[in-house]
Amino acid sequence: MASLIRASVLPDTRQAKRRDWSVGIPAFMAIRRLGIAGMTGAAIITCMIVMAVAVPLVSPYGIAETRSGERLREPEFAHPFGTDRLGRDQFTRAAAAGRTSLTATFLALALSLTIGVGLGLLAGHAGGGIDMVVMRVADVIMALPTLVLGIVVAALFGPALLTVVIATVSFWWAGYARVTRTLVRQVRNEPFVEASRAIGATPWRIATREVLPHIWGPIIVMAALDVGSLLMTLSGLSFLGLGAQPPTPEWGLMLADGRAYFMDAPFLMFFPGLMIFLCVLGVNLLGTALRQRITTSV
Amino acid sequence: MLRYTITRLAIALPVLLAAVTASFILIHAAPSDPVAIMFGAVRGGSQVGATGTQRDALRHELGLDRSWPEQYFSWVARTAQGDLGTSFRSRRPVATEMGNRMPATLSLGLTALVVQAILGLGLGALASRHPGGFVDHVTNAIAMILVSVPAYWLGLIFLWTFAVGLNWVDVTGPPDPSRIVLPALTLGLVMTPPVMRVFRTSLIEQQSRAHVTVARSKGLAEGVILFRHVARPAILPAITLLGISMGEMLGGAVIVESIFSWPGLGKYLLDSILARDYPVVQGYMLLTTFTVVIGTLVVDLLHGFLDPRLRTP
Repeated sequence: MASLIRASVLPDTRQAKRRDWSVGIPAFMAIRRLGIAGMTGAAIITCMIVMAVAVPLVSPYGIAETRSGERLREPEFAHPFGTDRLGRDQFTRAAAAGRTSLTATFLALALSLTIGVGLGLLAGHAGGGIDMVVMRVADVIMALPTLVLGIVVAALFGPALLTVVIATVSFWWAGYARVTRTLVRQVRNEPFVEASRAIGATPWRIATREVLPHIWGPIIVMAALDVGSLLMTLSGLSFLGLGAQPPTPEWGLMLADGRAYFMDAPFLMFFPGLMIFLCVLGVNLLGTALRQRITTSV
Repeated sequence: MLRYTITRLAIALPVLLAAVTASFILIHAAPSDPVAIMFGAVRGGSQVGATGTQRDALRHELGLDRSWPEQYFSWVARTAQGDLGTSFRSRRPVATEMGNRMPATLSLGLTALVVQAILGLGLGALASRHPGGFVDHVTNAIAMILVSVPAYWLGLIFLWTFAVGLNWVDVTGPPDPSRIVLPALTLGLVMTPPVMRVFRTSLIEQQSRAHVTVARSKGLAEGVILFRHVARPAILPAITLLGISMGEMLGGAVIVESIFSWPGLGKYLLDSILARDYPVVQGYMLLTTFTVVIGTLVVDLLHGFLDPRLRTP
């Protein structure tokens, strides 16, 4: 990802190649240029993903497997995160919940980016009426607190994980649309865009081949810095009972379930929350490092 | 200034109208029938006794048998008069119900705002003293942690630590004003980082400005320079952020109130959602929009008042 950003912010990539060997090499190798904080972030995210993918596969306990003899066990070696009221292993469930939460987050992010960047490109290129309508809608959405909007939309269309994702996307795109439009406005009269226009390139080609690669960097950084709050919003809605429904393993939902055993088994709410916190911390550390890279390299 | 005020008001009106329209569309797009819900709510879940005629009568009473444009205009007109409709559950005006719960949320929000302002401005000022220094790194780490911690987890940890572990706070006893501390602290803490970062950046920016160099070369005392010439102009962006965060606070209040069983608007919203009491949901959405628009308006007017350059659009 870092190399992508580098390549896109620098106007002349050949010059960049001379200065920076990381252009053109895969992102995972450029990660060591992110600094300690960025590397920590990348490490946390990698651990989370590995845990989400691997633990349910190798765990001796099933995700929904209940053991009546092992209810509300304190954390121990056999159950690092303890067991819940049905005797389900919380470590396995927390890992599986990572699949749910991370998939939902990246789905929501991908949809928001597609809609936001698409509309931003459209508004920036078309100008006039389309531009005005898109931007006014985005302005109104951005004026409202995201959590309240999410709660209202999710509540009206019935509680489900997919509802929450759609509810979140329905206002999350606005920020990307606005930034994309501003960036498009900045580059649309640059010589390389004009040259492309002069040789008769279609608006679609200009938007996707000339403008988009040039403005991708800041948008990716913005998205990277957003992933954390997106994850917190989605899990928060599940925590409130509007998102994932039992028995789906989801961090917010597990945290909410654990509240009933607040006194006797505080570990039930501690670990799912810790997972959310670590994940968000990881992406925020990485996002901040990416932003620093991009602002210092221009 | 008058001209500026009028222009700003003119910009705020369409936003309000858009929010009113959006909440109308949302409610009408929702895939459930209000009449069925109302009969369900009235008869305690079962819909026994709701004959076709009774349903039609209620439908007529609610104006649901009229055309969409008709319903829309009467909805806008009623909203403009402060009539937010009637709660399905209590059959009382939503505006009254929300008014009753307003003080609890308002006191929570304002206390959280104080926490946010003191911590945000304080830590921001500390960090700006030596950019890149030890204190800067520590405050930066604190901000990173606070921005990443979910409010619903932090609140529960506070509750467990102070109510169960240390037994300092009694959460089961009768209502007591001191119970505001934990929810306000939770809400204020998670909202601190942006204020802190903005204040730090703008303090550092101001310190390199020409008027500060002049003040320093005149030999003014360091305290005078810091407070009068650096902090005063630097606080403007931070105040803007505090004003804008009023809306986010209403959102955060839903979660924090539900954790601490604080009898405010947020908890009311959640209860209403679970009972599918749509007029309340609608009313809450309008109230939030209204708060955000007013908050932004006040901040903008304050800016125009403090900095005449901003008055020309």
